[in-house]
Order: sequence, then structure tokens, then C-alpha cells
Amino acid sequence: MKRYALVLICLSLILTIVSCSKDSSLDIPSDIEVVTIASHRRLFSNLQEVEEEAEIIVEAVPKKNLGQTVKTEYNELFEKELAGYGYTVWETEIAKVYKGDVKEGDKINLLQSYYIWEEDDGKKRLISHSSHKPIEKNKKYLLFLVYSEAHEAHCAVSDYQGLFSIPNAELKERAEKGTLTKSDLELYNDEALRNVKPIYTEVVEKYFK
Amino acid sequence: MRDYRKIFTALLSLILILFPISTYAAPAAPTVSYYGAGNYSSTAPVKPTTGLKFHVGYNAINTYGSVFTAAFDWNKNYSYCDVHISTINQWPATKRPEYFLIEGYALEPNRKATVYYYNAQGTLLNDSMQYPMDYSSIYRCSIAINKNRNEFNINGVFSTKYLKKVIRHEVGHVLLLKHPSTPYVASVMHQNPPRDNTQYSDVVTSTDIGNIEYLWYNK
Repeated sequence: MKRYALVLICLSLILTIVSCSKDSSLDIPSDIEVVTIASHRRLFSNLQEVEEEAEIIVEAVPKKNLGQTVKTEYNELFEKELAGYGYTVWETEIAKVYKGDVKEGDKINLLQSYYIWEEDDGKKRLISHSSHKPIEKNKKYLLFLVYSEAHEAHCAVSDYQGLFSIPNAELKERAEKGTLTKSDLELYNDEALRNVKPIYTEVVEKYFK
Repeated sequence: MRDYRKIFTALLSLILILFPISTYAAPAAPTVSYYGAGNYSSTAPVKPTTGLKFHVGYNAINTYGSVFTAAFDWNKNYSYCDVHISTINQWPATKRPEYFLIEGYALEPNRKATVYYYNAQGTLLNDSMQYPMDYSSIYRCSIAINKNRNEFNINGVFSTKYLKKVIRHEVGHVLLLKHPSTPYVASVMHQNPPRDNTQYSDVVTSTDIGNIEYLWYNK
């Protein structure tokens, strides 16, 4: 009898661990429809401006999705909540420090302005205020960050101008040749590519050589 | 022969009276184009051609006061269209559901404002390949303004001029203007902070007006 009880306890423990380790509602399906929301933001014209604006400059790895926040507006015309501003926060582990009062191994909350929204018909859509595709778990990024007290999280300096995945040799070569595409930089639109290209060339030269 | 000449002259005069040449004149294409190809849904209760109506929310008013009338800067004597802002309800007792909302939110640093476009089902428009200003099913818009006043600082000091520029800029998006693809044109639709005597204008410029007239002509 004791043996059965022990097996049952072990089984329930395993089930609890498995269910806690993965919150599937936060996963982004590969075929999800993406809605990108353009914003009026401050744009930087060179790397020096980005570095001056950044409070911390680090290489870091997103480890855990801490959830999303969505601001909605109830509208009587539609008799429902309308999706508006929102964001997702990731617990991110610092791997290397270039600037700022943080150290390797520290964990910071990193905000990226996207969220998953479920429509009336049950269909999920990715609502992104960021022109950069959502950051990925366990992937390393070079981050130029400022702290937002209102969100209690760090944010990339002007979105895609402060967030770069670590490039491979092929990507570095394309950056040198000036033949980068928006998908190379994980961007959604050409306007973002146009605005980030000059900065990215400097970033490769200084941080990725 | 003289009779034919009289009849011809009379007919010509009649044609000129009935169909003045100006009727057929269209606005000249703007020197730099940055307007969308879209339009508002025919059933939209509020739209540019019948007068845009805005309700300014409590957070926005509480943070910035009555600066939102800056949007009226878009009301020009357009020759080719009836686009205008008819109402900016800044101290409303009640919120009219058909009015477009301008509200203050804690947006992240360096994000000044955002415009949302919805269709008649209340679904957000815009996919990663298409700008919302290119949709022909726009039913409603709303504007989110960053409620952190420091976002509108110039040289460390809060600038009403900058804030008003952003308000005009966002309303420009509601009028379906995009960002100019070249910096070499004076426009309120640039993303940069306003700078005197540069193309980064804080007010609506003649090129902006040209784009509005060309976009909204015949709509």
C-alpha cells in the first residue's frame, strides 16, 4: 500500500514539474498571423547616439517568458474590448557586459512590445508594436537598453535600433557588403531596415568583429 | 455661312458654360508622395471627408491639458477635397463610441505615440506586408500618446511644440499619410523631433497639403 502511495506521489510530482516548465499559451505558433503596429518613435542616426542613450549594453539570453500585458478599450459600437497597446516581458540572463551597473549572470526583465491576441472566432494573432520579430528563448542578443520605471523592465533603445541577434559569418559578410535584407535582421518592414542599416554596420564593426 | 458661324459660337459658349474646364482639373501629383492607397469604409460613422471627431481621454488630458486642438492645424482651405477635423472633445462628460479615442498610456521609452486602425468588426488592421493606410476597410482609429512627459523633452526641457507636432503627425496618419521615404522634404510626417528651419516641421506643410489633396480628391 505504501509503495502505491509513493508511486502516486512521484507521478503527481512529475506531472506538476512538467506542467510548470512549459506554459503553452505563451508559445508563438510558426504560422500565426502577424499584425504590426507602426509607431512614432525617436530614431537614432548612428551607433554613438544609441550607445549614449543606452543605460546598459549587454549580451544576454532570454530564459523565461514572464507573461504579457494588454491594454484594451471597451467600445460600445462593437460591444467588445478592442486590442491596443501591449507587451511581453522576458526574464533575461546577462552573458557579457559592455556598459552599465550589471554583471554577468544577473537576470533582468526585458520588455518587447508584442502580445498574442485571441479574436472572437478563437483565432490567435501576434500583435507587434515592435518592428523586430519576437525575441527567442535561449538565443543570444546584443542589447542596448534603457530602464522603464512604468513597466519595471528594461527596453531596447528605440526598439529595433537597440536589439540585435549575434550574427554568423555569412550575415557579417552581408553587412559589410551592404546587402542585408529585413529577414537577415529579423525585421518586419523595409522602413525599419532603412533606419537600422547604418547603425548595424557600425555594430558589426565594433561588437561582432 | 454667317448663320453657321453664329450657331457654332453659341454652341461653343454653351459648352464652356455647362462644362467649365476647371471641373476636370485634378490636383497635381505631389513632388514627394507619402499617402496610403486605402480609404475608410463607406459605413464608418466618422471619417475624414465628413469630419473627424476625437474624444481625448482622461489620462491624456490629465497629463497634457488642452494641447490636442493642435490637430485642427489640418483644417486648410483644400481646393480638391473636404477633409477636415470637426470635433476634438477635450473635456467630455460622456464618451461617444463613434468618436476616435486619443488616450495617454505608459508606452516604453522613445515610443512617442501609436495609431491603431480597426475594421468594422473591431479587428486591428495591418499585417507585416501591408501598411494600415493601404486598407480600404478602415472603420475606426485610436491614438495612444506616451504619458511620460519626458518623452517630449528637447534638450532636457519639456517641449509643447514637440508634443503638438506628434499630435499633428498622428492625426496625419489617421488621414492616411505615411512617413516620407526621403528626408529632403519639409513635412510634419517625419518621425524626428521638430527643428526650426529644417525639413522636420512641427506644423502641416504645403507638401503635406499636396499629399492630402491628391489622396482625397474624388474620394
